[in-house]
Amino acid sequence: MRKRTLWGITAGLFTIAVPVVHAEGHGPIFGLATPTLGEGQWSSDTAVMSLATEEDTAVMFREMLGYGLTPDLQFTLTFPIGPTDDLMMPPNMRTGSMMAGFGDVEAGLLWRFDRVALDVGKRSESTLITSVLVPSGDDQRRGIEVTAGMHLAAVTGYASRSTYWWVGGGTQLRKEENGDRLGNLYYLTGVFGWRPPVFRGDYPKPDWRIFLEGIAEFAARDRNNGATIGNSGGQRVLLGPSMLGLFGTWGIEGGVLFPIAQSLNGNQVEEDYRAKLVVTYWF
Amino acid sequence: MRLVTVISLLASLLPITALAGGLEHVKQTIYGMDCAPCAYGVEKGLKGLSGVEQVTVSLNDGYAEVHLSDDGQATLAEIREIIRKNGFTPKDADVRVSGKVVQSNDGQFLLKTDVETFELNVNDQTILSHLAAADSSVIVSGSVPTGDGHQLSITAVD
Repeated sequence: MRKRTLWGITAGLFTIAVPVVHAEGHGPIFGLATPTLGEGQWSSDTAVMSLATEEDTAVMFREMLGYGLTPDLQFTLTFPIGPTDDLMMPPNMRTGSMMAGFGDVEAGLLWRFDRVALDVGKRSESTLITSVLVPSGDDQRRGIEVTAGMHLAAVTGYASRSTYWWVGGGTQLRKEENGDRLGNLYYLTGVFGWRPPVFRGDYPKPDWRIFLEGIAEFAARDRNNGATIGNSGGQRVLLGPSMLGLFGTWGIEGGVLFPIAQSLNGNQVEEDYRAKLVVTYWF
Repeated sequence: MRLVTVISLLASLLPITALAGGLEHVKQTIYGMDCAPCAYGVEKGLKGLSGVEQVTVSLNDGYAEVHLSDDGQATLAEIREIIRKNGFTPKDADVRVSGKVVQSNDGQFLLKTDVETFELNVNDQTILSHLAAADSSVIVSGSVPTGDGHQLSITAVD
């Protein structure tokens, strides 16, 4: 149990790092955001995520690399690193809206199709996110053959030096093979961010901001040998705080989500919390 | 041998005498830049331009301040392109430029450097007479509005 917890914390840290990269410097750790890598700029996010249920705790580590093809088009690649303890993780979950779940390698494009510079330090923007998921590791998750999939999402938001918000939604779809398919996932996210006056020092002073993040997940039932599995899928609404610190080319972000509503099909174990920690480097 | 030395010396002076000044200082207003990594990207890009000696980026006040050396070849257009490539919007810029004043056929005063030309907008009669009398390099301070144009509204001439 201790070993699992340790792995969980480490993995959570990794997972946190990955969302930071996607959010590129100002975003949340669980919810969707609009990334802002400059043209030719790279980012590296190393994340660890922990998911706890009433019975156990699971942990996962991931790495995410980002590259700015243009100011409004980014390529991202996320992949698992280190051991993955997936026993208690829902097999179709994502480890953050902008990052695939355990065991999947994900390559994506993020297109910021609308950007309006409103004033000094203020802008509104909207982004479309698309990616493909390729399973790695075990062929099966909870006895279900793991297949390739895709992720589509859209998000719009506002950023300034004092407040931030984003709202968005997405879906993760899996291909069915030999009658097996992990249930599709549909989700909505909302984020509100605030930078307290004490943290509003100018660059290159450290930059801190606080977020309140919410996610609503709607997971369809899995299929096995052509039959729908009753003990799978369900709905969750999670809410929690996160905090992002930026120091020059480094960033660190941590957060936790707590379920405020769960309606899981069958007798699945309910979730207690999700925690993430991400370390980011821009170069 | 002496002749070779003299020619070498003259040749080494050529690039210097050919220069007709350029940007000395730019304070470029930036819209939409909100985070430390954003500022880092802009700072890194600007430092890579020719002749840039010092860059200061302010997130709270939304600007990049660039100090350039005498032999720099960086242009205002290049500075603004760096900001665009980082995903932000360059607005008005306060500049200090050295160059030669010439008058076009339609009477428009132009400030020419080796790498770019500014159209000078002058409302002050004293500055206007100063420009008309200038027969060598001058240093001009003023503002250049948003966009790709090079219309420089002069506030001072040295």
